[in-house]
Amino acid sequence: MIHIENLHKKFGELEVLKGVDLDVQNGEVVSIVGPSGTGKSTLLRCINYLERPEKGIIDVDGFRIDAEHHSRKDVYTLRKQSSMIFQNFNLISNKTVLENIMLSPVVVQKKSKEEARAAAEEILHKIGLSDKINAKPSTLSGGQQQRVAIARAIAIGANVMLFDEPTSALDPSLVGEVLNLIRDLAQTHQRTMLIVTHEMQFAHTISDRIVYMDAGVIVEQGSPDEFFNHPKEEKTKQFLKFYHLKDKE
Amino acid sequence: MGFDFSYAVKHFLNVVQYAGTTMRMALLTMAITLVLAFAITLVRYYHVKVAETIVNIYIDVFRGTPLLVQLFFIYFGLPQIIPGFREMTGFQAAIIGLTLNTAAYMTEDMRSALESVPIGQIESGLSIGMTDLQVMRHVILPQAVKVAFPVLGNEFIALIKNSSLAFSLGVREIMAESALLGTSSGRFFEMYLDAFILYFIICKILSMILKYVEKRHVKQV
Ligand SMILES: Nc1ncnc2c1ncn2[C@@H]1O[C@H](COP(=O)(O)OP(=O)(O)OP(=O)(O)O)[C@@H](O)[C@H]1O
Ligand SMILES: [Mg+2]
Repeated sequence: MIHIENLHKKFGELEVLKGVDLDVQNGEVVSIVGPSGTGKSTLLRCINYLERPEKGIIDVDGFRIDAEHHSRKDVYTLRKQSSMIFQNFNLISNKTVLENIMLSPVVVQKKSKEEARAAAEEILHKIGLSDKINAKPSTLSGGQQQRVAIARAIAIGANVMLFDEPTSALDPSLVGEVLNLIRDLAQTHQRTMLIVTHEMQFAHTISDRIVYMDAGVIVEQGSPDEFFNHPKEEKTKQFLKFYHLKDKE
Repeated sequence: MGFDFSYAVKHFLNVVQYAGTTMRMALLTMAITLVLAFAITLVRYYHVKVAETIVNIYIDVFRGTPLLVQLFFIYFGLPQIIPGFREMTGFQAAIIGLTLNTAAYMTEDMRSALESVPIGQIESGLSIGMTDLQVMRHVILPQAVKVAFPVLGNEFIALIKNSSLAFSLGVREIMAESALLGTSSGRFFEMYLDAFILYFIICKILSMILKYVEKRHVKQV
């Protein structure tokens, strides 16, 4: 569950989030789409507190932070409520695939190495990367790296998963394997997902709801059918027109 | 007075005897410097208020003045003002001076090693719930150490060379012994040639060892 209330974030003079309100229910899959530079990544990063908002409420799975009054410990707790998948994978480069996945369970959750290892092996088996268990990230393809990053997020066991353009850095031929994994996850696990993406087809099929962001605010949201076939706002129509044109090219 | 090869050979071992003092000085300084420079680096990395300002002034001062002046200031200057320093030996003063001087440079190299770790990896460490300290310990340091190793190795070699200035504080090491024998016999060429060769051998061997260790243990990322 995610609850965002009146979230504000500035970079210097640049106001990037201008009072965002958003609710995502347990198990719901929500995609955020919108033009470049409108604050989609910033919103996601605020939920994980990789950016500090100036004002607003963030509640992830029942842990609530007020941007104006909180401690360092609150930030650490909030981050544990969700796991983030980055555009550039961000695996720890001097650690093997297995070590990357075991890192949070062992260091943060203080599980035993044996337990963490068994769990990691099982996840890797499920996503078909058992043979890469001792490989270093740099020896993997982008698609494999992103799948490992998703495995790492699964291992944390957080209910909420945040995806920031998980396939944008990938070679087109590798996009499919990652999208399929996310789709599997959305269907089999009852996880709450917030996905920033430019893959409209994917957003259409996987999401329970689409959120359209523009210039630091949420302009419109609705079911995939409502959103793609019957958009209400002028800005949304313009945006979709752009994508339709691109699809036809 | 021509070049007396046998004199140089005969007294080479006299000079070598004092290589121990040089090495002890360099190793001790290196050990303290590593700790001090790391502490300073953390203060700057995490922008610890007040401490960061003080540390930056210190770095500025020690990088902006000659080592010899620093050594003289510490050994001959400070005891006149601060009575506690009167008991200080030349060896101790040399350690203090060399440490303060080397740390001012080393912190910069440590900092660039820390900053060489991609920000994305730090963020992913935080996002999986690690504290800043855990990220430092499990993500940043293991990678930074590999980057820093060759640079710090070179600083150690530079330190051995710089330690020759300690002779001016009365520390009897390689340089002092060469100067002493040179003065007593008038054979400066032979004696400084010995110092020349000895420093070169020490530094060459060390740099070969460092290269070897780097190849064996550090390069495999
Ligand atoms: N660390 C930062 N410092 C300063 N400005 C930033 C920073 N991060 C983002 N911005 C600015 O904030 C605005 C929103 O950025 P954000 O990355 O959230 O956009 P986005 O919607 O994710 O765009 P894209 O689709 O291109 O990823 C942009 O104008 C960007 O330049
Ligand atoms: Mg973005």
